[in-house]
Amino acid sequence: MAQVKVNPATTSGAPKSPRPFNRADLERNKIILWVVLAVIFLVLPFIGKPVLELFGPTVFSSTASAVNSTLLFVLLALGLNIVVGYAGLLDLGYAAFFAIGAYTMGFLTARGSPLYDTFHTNFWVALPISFLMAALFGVLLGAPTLGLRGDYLAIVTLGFGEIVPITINNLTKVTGGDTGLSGLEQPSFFGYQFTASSLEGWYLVTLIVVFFSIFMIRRLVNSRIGRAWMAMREDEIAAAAMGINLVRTKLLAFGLGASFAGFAGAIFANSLGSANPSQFKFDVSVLILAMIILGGMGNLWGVIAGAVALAMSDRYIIPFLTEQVRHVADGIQLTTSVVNGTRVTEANPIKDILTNVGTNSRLLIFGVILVTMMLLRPEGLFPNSRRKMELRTAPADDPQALITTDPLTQADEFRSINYNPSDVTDQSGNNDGDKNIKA
Amino acid sequence: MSDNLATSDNLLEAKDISKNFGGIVAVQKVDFVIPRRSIISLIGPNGAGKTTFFNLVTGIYAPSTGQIVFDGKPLGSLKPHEVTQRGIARTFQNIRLFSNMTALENVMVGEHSRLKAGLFGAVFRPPRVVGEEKTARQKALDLLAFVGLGGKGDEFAKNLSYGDQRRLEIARALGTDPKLLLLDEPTAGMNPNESANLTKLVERLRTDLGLTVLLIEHDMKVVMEVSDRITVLNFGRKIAEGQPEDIRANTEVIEAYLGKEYAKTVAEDKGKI
Amino acid sequence: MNSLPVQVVLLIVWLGLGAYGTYMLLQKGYRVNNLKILAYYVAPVVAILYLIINQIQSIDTAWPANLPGSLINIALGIILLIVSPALVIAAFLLPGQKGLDAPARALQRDAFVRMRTRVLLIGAIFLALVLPLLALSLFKTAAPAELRYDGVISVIINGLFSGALFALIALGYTLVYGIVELINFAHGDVFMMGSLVGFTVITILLGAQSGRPVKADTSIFMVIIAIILALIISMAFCGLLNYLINRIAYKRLRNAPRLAPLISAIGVSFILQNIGLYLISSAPKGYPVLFPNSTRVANTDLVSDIIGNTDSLITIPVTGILVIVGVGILLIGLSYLINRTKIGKAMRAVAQNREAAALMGISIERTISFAFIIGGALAGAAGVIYGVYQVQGTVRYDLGFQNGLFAFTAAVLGGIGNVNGAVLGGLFIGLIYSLSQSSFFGLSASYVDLSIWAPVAVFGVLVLVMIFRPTGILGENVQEKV
Repeated sequence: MAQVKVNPATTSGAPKSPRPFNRADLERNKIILWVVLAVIFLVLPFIGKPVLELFGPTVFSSTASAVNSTLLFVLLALGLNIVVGYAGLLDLGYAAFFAIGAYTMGFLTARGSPLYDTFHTNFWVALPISFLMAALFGVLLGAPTLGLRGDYLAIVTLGFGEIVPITINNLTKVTGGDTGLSGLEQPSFFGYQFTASSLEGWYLVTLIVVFFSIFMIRRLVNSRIGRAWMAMREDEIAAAAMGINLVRTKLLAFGLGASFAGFAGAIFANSLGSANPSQFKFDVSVLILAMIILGGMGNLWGVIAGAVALAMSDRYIIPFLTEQVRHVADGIQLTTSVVNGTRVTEANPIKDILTNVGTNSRLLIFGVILVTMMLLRPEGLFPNSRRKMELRTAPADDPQALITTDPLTQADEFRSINYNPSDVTDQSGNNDGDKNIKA
Repeated sequence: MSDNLATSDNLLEAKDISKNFGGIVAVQKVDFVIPRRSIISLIGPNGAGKTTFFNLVTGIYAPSTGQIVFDGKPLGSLKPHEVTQRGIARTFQNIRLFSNMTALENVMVGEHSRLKAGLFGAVFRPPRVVGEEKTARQKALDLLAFVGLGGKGDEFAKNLSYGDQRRLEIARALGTDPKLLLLDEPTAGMNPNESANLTKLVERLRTDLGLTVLLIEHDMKVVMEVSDRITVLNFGRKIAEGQPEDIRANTEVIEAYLGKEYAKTVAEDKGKI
Repeated sequence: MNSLPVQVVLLIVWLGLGAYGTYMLLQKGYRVNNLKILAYYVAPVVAILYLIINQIQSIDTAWPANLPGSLINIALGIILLIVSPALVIAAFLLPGQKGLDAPARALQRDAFVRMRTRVLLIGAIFLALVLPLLALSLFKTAAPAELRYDGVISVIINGLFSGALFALIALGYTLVYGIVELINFAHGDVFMMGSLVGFTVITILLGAQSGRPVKADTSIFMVIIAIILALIISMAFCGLLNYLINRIAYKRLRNAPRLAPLISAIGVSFILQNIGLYLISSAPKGYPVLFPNSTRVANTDLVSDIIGNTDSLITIPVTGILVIVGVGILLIGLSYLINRTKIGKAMRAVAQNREAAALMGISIERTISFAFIIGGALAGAAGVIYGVYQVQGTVRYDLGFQNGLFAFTAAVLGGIGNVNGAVLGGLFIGLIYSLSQSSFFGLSASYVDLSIWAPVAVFGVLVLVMIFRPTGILGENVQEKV
């Protein structure tokens, strides 16, 4: 951190505070930095297009669509980070809210939607509705379940995350079943008509949403609400004793996280022009989870880095690599021979294995990332300093160990008034009471 | 206080409070009164139900029978955060600080229920919210200074010394703007010097801040020094109540702590002298 | 919808019973949790919704006909058939509570909890036995095939068979959870690996092909030997696999926050799935048909003879015997292991209080490893039995995911960490799965339409159990925890 002029009002107790509140210089520098960053990102596609097209006709479009989906994943990761990273609630069904956002957008704008004849609207109206819808479902699911212990909550959200895509898949008449909804009407903006191939347009829309999200999250974390999330994550009972309404605070995180997914889902569906239930399965939830774990839970920039790294490898690098492996496999000639007048192709195990590895390695890669990260660096590559401490140290399941009572001094104290010295801590019978807090 | 109802002399009145876990009775038919601006101590042997009583008052448990009236209004089955909002704050027997937050942040979390910024306010920071944060911060710094942690605001709670952690818990509880402060063994594990300092701090809670304090404490020196009145619990029942001197002489209390046989010898010793 | 009036009568009778039981309980001085009453009265709401939906359905054929059918089946099955009789029985059996002081009430409450467990078991038996007889008197042979009592018996039997398999898998979750409080997310995939290993052993030993009948000259004896060998090898393999998973992925995270091992477990699950994908590729295979000549054990049925219906619908595949015998032996063995052996005692001790057990000289890590090995072996056995029993589509890389979740639901339903609960929960989930597919209540004619909703039914149960009773059916019974 740069040297900062500190307002004397805030210095009385704190020589170097981590919370920059009213420090004009730093704020100004930051704003300049932000503006520069924004401009760079905004002009990126227009510079990138001619450059990338030098390499080949499809290079730009494939790169740009990978970038667009990366941006959506950044949005998703930011949302899940609020739930898991800040509030400490493990949500394994996050893709369900993504699906709800996408399908709300689909219902309201698709030509194939059963609502189309009676009611349809354009993207700009459907976007906030999708986002509210996802938030609503988040609150509906969260309200009864947020009192549950961490891993139970994880399982409820997992169950919900399974129910939503199966339901969507089964309600064939309403959602188009496994073929999904298609023909979403895409928006126009002051004469600019968005289509599935207007990659720059979608890039800018998503980018603006991402920028706003970052702004919003940064402000939230350094506020009364952010402090409450942090406190709740550390110790729920103490947080409740400090006047924090646990259910409401958790619900806020859960609903807010869900609404991010709703936003991402709506943009996702509309930019593709279609929505399909297979896009919202469990592996998507885990992919997003892997992003925030890889980057570092609770650290905004870490999460963004993790999302970029994994989304780009998922959409760009892994397909590229496996493509190469498949190329090699295809290059292997099979030996054929004629037996009894029929051509018999001999099996080639190496070709089979290569084809297999080339086709099906996605799960393995994510699995290995999750396990190795947990074992070697549970705090992520770019950890939040606090989260790091939490994850590196064992939970304080034995706070009594901290009490360094010297029995001799205690004994002296007590002896002076004739009382039993052994009676130092009143923990028998009361201690476990503390754990099961009233709902 | 302008409220007529609330001007009764007692800040907290617990009537006929019982709490049982399964077949175990932790607190049985306890009547308890805390006058305003008093310092009351709750003592008793291990498992006497002292912490359970705290948990009943702070809403962590709901009493099986009985009623607790705070500041003229029954607490009913309020949740812990609602009890805190009504003006009861507590510390914990096993320190429960937010250990990966700074001391200052800990106290500011304490102020949570007295601040108003919501989602919109937190994101867009209108001047009202900026001002609120500023005063909250100043108040937190003042509270840290009050408990003797001035200048340690930026230390992570878990890096503080044991005695400082106890103080920080008190500062955090003060952040909630309480009328009644419950301290659960504030001097446990402290050396005599630290205990003496803490005793002074407890006195100052009343003299400087006008608080009412309920104290669970095992260090009899502290108890005898600060308490206006002492209540003794044993097996969930109230066995004695009175001035420190009365309690010291009460045979039933000595029996509870040391057993009948020992109590007899104590009495005999006294007779000899 | 010719059976609609019957359903309405049934509904009213059950609701009346339930209301009567509740009233009696209140009279005796019990305080019934508002939430539970609410949950209970969700049933009539569902019923009314169902009637409305039926009306819509007759007007608009585009309405998804299968959804309400599935919903009402589950609601009737769980809420009405169990809750109402349970309330009435409880009302009669429980002593009055008025005028007692707090400790006496608490003791009674404990007795009540024990009683409730028994009542729930009675409810389960009731569901299995009385229901078909009731159906018999109501429907006779007039109803279409799916509504006939013997069709229902078939559904229940098949439900119990798959339930027994869910129970085996659920035991692995519950044993591990009871001891380390970890949801071993990879357990379902261990089950998948078990199925795969069994498949390999059986096909190699018998020289059979996937999904086809075994060679005509294979003797029954050989088939049985092959199954037993497959079971042993698969159990050994999966026990070892689960042990290694614990050693590599969980052991270091013993003191980490709870989320860390859970996330690690998800990672292991993915890795195992991908290994499965490498080995089997994405097209599912099936076990060879081991008993091609006899698919049914019995085609006779006393009740159907009485009413003069010779064409019984009860079909029990011969492999069902394997399910009964195999699961039975394994459960008896497990019960012996837990209750009678030293290591079993150690497991129970560690589950109760890890620190105290360690102080008594029990090696915690060894006990944990043992729980993983036992759980893995049970999953391996379940994999083989499942493959032999279900035949089709049993060797696939994602076999473990959904079945694992169902089994986990079973463990949660029974009370996670509780061995008896896992078995009970497994049977319940099997029944729920099977009943939600069946058309017993005449709600949808098409089996296929309903079966796609069965996973939703099970996951719905999972979510509801978690919300209303996270401790499960037997969850409070701490003594019997592993």
